[in-house]
Amino acid sequence: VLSYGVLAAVTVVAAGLCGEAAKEPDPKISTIFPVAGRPGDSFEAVIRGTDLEKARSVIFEGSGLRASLLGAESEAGTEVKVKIAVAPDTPAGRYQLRVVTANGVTNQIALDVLAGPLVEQSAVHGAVSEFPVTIMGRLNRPGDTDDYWLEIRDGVTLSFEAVSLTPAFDPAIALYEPSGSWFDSHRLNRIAFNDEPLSFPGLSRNALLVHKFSRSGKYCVKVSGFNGDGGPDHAYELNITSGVKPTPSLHPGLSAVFEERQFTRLLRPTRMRDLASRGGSGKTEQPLETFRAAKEGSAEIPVMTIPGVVEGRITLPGEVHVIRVRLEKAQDIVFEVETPEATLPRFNPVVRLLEPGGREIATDVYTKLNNNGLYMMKMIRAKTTLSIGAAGEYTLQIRDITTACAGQDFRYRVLVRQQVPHVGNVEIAPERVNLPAGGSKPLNVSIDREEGFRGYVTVDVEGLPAGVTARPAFENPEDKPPLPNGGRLERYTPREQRTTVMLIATPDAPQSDIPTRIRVVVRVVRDGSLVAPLAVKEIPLMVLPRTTS
Amino acid sequence: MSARLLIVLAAAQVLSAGSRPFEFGRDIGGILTRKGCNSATCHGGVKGRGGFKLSPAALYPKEDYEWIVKGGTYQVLTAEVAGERKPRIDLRNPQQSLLLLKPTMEVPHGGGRRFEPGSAEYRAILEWIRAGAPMGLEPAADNKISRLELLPNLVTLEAQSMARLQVKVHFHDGRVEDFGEQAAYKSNDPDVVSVDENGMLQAKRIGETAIVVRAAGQVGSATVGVIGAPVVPYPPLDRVNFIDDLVYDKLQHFRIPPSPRASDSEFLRRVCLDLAGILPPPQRVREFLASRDPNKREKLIDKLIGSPEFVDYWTFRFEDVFRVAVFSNGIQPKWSRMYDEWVRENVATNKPYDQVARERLAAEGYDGPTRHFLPYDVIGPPGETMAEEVRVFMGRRLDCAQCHNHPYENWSQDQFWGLAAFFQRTFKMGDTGNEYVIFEHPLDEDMGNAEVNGNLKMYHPRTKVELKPTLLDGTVIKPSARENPRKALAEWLVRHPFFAEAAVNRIWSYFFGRGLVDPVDDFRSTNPPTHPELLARLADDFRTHNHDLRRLMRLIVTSRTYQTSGRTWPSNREDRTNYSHAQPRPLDAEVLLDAISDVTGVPEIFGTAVSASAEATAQAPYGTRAIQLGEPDVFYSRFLEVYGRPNRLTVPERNGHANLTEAMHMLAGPAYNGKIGNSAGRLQRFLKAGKTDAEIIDEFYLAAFTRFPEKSEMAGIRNLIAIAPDRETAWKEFVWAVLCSREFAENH
Repeated sequence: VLSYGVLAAVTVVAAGLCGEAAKEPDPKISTIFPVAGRPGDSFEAVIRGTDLEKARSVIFEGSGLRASLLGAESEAGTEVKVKIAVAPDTPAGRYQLRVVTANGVTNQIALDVLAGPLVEQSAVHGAVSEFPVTIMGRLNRPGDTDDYWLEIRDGVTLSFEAVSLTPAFDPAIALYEPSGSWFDSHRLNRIAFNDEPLSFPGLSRNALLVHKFSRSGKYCVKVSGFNGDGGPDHAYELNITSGVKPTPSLHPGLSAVFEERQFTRLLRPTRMRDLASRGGSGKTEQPLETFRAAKEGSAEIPVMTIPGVVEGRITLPGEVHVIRVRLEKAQDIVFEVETPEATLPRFNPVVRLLEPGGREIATDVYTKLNNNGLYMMKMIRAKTTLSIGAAGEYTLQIRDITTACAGQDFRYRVLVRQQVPHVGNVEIAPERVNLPAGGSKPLNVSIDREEGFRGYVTVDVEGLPAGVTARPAFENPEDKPPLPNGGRLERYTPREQRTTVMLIATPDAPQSDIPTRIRVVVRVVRDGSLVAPLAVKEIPLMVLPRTTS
Repeated sequence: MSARLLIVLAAAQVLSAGSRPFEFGRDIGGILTRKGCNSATCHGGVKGRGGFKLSPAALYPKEDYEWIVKGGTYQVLTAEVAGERKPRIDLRNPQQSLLLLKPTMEVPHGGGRRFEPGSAEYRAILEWIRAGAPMGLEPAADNKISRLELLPNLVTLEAQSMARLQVKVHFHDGRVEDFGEQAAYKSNDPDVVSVDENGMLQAKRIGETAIVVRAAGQVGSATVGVIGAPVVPYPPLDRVNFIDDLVYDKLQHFRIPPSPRASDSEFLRRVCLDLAGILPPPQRVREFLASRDPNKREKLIDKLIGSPEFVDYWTFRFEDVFRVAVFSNGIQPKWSRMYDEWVRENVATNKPYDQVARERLAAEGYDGPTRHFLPYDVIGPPGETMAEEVRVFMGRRLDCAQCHNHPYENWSQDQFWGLAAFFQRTFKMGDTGNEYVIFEHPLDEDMGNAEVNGNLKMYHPRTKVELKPTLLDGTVIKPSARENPRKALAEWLVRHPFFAEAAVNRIWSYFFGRGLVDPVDDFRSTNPPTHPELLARLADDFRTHNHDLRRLMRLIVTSRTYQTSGRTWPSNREDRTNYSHAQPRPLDAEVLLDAISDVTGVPEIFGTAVSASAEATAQAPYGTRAIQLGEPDVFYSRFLEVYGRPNRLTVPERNGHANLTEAMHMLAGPAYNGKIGNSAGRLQRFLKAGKTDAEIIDEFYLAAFTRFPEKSEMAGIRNLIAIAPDRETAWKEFVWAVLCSREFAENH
């Protein structure tokens, strides 16, 4: 007994000395090159990533594309060579793919199917003179710049767009003419440059440059990485098209079907019903009336009732719009701001609600003090909740936060309404599960409780493979101390709640050859019944061999 | 009439200086000024000294009187007096007054002995205390001192001669009084001219300096030049524009002959480096030297101004002044790049400089110039932001006045905070650190302030009075509630005479190595311009020509003054300030590195790694020049650090002083030795191509020095190569010697 005990102790110590247990492989992919193909094409490509040993297959989201593995993958598990076939009738678009390996299923990356002329970097010889064209290139090392020569006729306008298909790569485009200089007759001189139309969180980092050429001749377009970034994952499409390609709306995309607090979400005419369907009582399904505000100083100030939307545009710097809001009784209300065209950081709408005496009672500007309480920090929020203590005519004031910025696209829509308790944003993570037999993985669901919603929300996991079960679990809650000097945070943030479902595989659970798509369904309970799902997410799940460690 | 008033009047009668009634500020304050007691290094300093505070040069006599008569310990950050107030005079036993015991060292005094017991100063103070220490007459509130005048203001002294300065104080009512006996005198360069405490000047050696005088709370200066023997005959002067008129007039006055016109090679090298930051290639040097075109210099200047290299170089110059750097622009590389693109566009389009200033000062929103309001990750404190704008656009350093009235200048703490108040409502909107929008917080809107008991108001740090945006002349600006007050500040600033003066002075300094006022951002009455009329004419010309920087540069480089040789006569060799000959200037780190790369034919590689062994995650595109790098905190270069590339965390002051590390770098650094030995470099290409010794020497001389070698140089070098045991090594040493020479490392 003693000897066994000593042995066990030695084993434990040895294990400790050996450091951490071997890290579980986590297959990930970063790029595919070439990054695009045409309908009917068949081409070889390399997918790069990590932990890609024993790749089994490539799966595409949607139909029209197939891939077969070519030869052995790299020893380091960093590359998979594939042959991709694009069916002739495949519509142009962006297609997501994953690699299935013995270590599980990877994340997804994109491959484009393009209808127009497509050429790989290495196949570009001499000057390009036919447009449109898409060149697929890659900046292999830091400091690399890819140069493409163009033959242009005077008066031509071309649009150049460098598209990165991976978040790690931020391309830039510069256009040069070989006009030389007194110092260097071969010098290329920059005539236009774009890193991206606007660098701001949520916006694309693709570069877009539109240029009208006033002289015929040869020009050079250079693609580079921001601040000389480069590497094997820095692949891009350079799209060159005739004419002016419209500047993107500079509108951050929404990350979910329903987004509660983004300036760019649509406040639809059915907003009240939409909210009711997310847990409301069903008594608030009133239509929204639309109003227009007047410029500050106008003789006549319009009056709106709630629920109602006030719409307008701030076309001149310093312009302020006002409208009166008639409230029949004391109540809890909300104002939500939508920026259908220009949005942050160009248009930063400040909305203030003033009581009849002119005092501000609420604003969409959330103010708090910094941690040492020395100065104020201000943030504009798309939704503000507040309680109105008395009936009366209040004033809603709308303007841009600066005194200098304005434009025809500075359009706002402000919805003023009664509060509707409901579930706001729903998040489900992770986006793939590689589950060893005999092991478990958490699946987290978080919901935002909006406007005093106190009801129940259910989470179902459907389509689980044999040997895998889902069980409710408690997670160790994060300690979130309240912010010092945090201001009226409750006006601008929902109550967030998180739950965990544990996915558990029995030791003898059959291993997966291909991922099973499980469905996570989140529903709200209203009047004792489940209503239509608030969120549904399909997640690929693979059961892997039992880990020996 | 009260008995007390009778006593005061009687005392004033006793103390009166001749026909003039007694004034504490003048009669006692004057002694304290003359003896240096209220100088910045003594009790006139920020904190006073030993708890005893006096105003600089008796600027605030009433306050000085209180500190002496009532006593007490001064505190910097509040107007409250610390501790018990114990008078520094003793009315019952006047000779035991601290005000007498300290400066006579009868009790220990950190400031040493300032005057002897029984001296005139001692007796004057003693009599004043005996008379009851009255304040005496005070100037009427509406009859303050308007200015200090020194006569003569421009003094020319023959060698070893003497002269006396007169100090006149002008009052608002037109009265002018002599303050010579209540003034403190100081020479900025006692080796040229010394001055005693009576204002007597003594010429020491040929040169020029300023005499600084402090009196009655004011500061003034006079320029004193010591001239040499008459130059006979004085050389004929070739004048191109008013710059030459004004420079030559002064040279003639000071009997300094200008050097001859620069040779073509001198001019070519100088103008290329000054306008484009780049050496001319050998072929261009050959063409220029061979050209017989009498207008070739003007034609070259027109080619260079606006050339792509010009845009690169002046973008680099203004990146320095405007502080383009990741850490100075919100710690977001994208933002410093946005800001940099704005700077580049200004240069490329030759945007009028007043417009540049307006855009930067009044910037709102999310575009390039707004990023300069975000040093590190926060909105800079209003005082610091204002002081930087004033320094950049008005050439004045107001920083000292943040804590106290400026010790050497007529800037008061009130003026400082009045200007700072223009920036009090500048806010950033945003949360996560990469989305900040700059805006002006309206005065009449709460915008959530009440929720955190926030206060938009700003208070004077000492008096606690609420601050209003106030221009230097005291005009209070009252913008409407939603108006950006910085717009009004910008409009005032670009119209103020200081703006154009500061701009032309800064540009002038880039072409001559020093400003007409130097340092370029330290205009003050105690640092007068060497050529005040020239400064005024240049500023006027700049203003009336739409603040056109390119035009200003053209005016400067076409002048005969700019095109003067660096070769000297014995009679002008000592001149450093009058432009009688070109002064050699060390190349800036970036320009020097680019020049080394050009001469060796080996471009520099700039990576993000901070050591040679570390792997760079990013690298500037091959062929990027050092002046094109943009921010100094993205790409690392040991060479640039050693040779003084500023980090731009403050407004850079490049001094170009050599240091030991530079010498080590020359001996063993890769920028020299790696490039010289590079197989793709100019030397190896020449050797492989079988060029003759003379061809190789010519090419390197043309590339590095913009000239052909002298016959003696050619012969000497060929001889060294011929006797060397290893020809390639000998050539490498030759190139190394070229690159390490002063002729190469300086613009001359």
